[in-house]
Amino acid sequence: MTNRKRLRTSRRTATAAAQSDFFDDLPDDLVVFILCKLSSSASSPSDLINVLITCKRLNRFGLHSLVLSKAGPGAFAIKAKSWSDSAHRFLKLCVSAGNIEACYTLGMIRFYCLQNRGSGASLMAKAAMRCHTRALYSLAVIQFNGSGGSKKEKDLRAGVSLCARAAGLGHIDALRELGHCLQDGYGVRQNVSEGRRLIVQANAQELATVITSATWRSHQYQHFYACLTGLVSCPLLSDFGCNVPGPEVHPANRFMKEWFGSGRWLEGVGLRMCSHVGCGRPETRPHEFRRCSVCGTVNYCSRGCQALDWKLRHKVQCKPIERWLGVDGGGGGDGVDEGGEGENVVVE
Amino acid sequence: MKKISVRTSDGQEFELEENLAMESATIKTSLDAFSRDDIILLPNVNSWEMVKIIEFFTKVQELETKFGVKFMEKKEGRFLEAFQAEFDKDLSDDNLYCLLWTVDYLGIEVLLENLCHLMAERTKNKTVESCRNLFGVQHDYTPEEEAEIREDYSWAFEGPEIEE
Repeated sequence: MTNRKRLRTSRRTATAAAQSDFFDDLPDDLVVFILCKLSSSASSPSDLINVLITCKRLNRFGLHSLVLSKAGPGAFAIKAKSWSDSAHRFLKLCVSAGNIEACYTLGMIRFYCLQNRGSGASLMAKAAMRCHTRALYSLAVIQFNGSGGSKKEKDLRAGVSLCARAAGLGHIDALRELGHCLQDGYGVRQNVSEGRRLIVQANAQELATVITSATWRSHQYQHFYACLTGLVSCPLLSDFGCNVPGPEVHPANRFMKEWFGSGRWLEGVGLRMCSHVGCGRPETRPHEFRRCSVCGTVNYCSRGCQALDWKLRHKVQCKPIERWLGVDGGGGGDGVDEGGEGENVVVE
Repeated sequence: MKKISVRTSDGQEFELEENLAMESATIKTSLDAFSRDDIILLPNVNSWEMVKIIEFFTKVQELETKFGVKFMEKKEGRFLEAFQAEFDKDLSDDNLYCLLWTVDYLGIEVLLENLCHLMAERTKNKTVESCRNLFGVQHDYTPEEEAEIREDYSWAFEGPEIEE
């Protein structure tokens, strides 16, 4: 912000008599600065778009590349039913301005919803190269599943390497995923103790994030202390962690959820959606995702989604399939070895 | 701690602690150019604006003691909330503009950033017309241009615009 020493020619009073002068007198870079603050903290696209419609000067400033480059995820919270060419154009404009959130969001939309795999992945890669943790993790999920291609196109090592990068930048699901990969020797040399350590670290980080957030309430403190004193078996050491409220759903995931709706038309072509409510990812070929091996009724794109869904709802709903058939089955909820396509590990 | 004296446009004098006065790039430049014992003249600053600025510095020192963090060095979200609640309640839109201009003139980066954030918050959840009133701008689109632009951005709105 450059220092301005020009004298004001008219003395201002607090009355609104010359209100139009106030704004006109604000220097351009200050207006742009205000709009940058607006775009970065917008909770919906309309917060910014409203300003673009007011007048030509604000329209020009609002579309300034600095303002667009600073736009936060809220500015891209487009409703799937409102998707149009002009919404697409807006996202592309933000991508050109260098906004990595826009790169990630448009990448996800193109990859999964518009089924433009190459372009979608390349946009996500652009965000990933600038350390966007969600983009890194989403690319890892694509590599692990071989999404957009055949089963042979799974690249486990690439998936592990992307997860490691995301985990290093603080992404909790990536850390958990990496821990499981190490435990199982999946895409990386097996190291059970290191894998275990990473999973517990992910659980601890997740709990720490929630504790420091403003929504933490006193009764949850009691649960936490009960865990520590051993009154309740410590979920910190489990595969899934403590009962914490689910993280806020990212606009890209919300868009996909809305786009695919209940998933009925997907089922028509033999594809399922990830059962975790906050995910929204669809399969890109039949039997791509892995099923819960205990009940077989839910499927997940990644261990991150599996862990979250377990805590949020599946824990109470999961029932071994043998019981349904009225057959006495053993091995209730114990871990099962990783199978091929269609199998999953569920550990209690 | 040395005190710096400043005189605002309406002749009132205020005393600021040296380290706080140095937060203002303008005052700092003046101090470097002239002796520190002289009174610094600020013809572009009103006394009520000066009062607000001193209030801000006092508030910051209070928060620094409470949270134990150097606000000026490390900006944290919690400070922003505490600051906003304090400043927002009795500051009209017009006063906010005046203060923005003054703080920009004085070059107090931290306060400027916070005021811009406040301004940004005020533009949210409003209709286009209310935004125009807030910024005091004239509607300079022709009816055709406006219709075109609203059509173009219809994806950003869900249903009728929210009334204030």
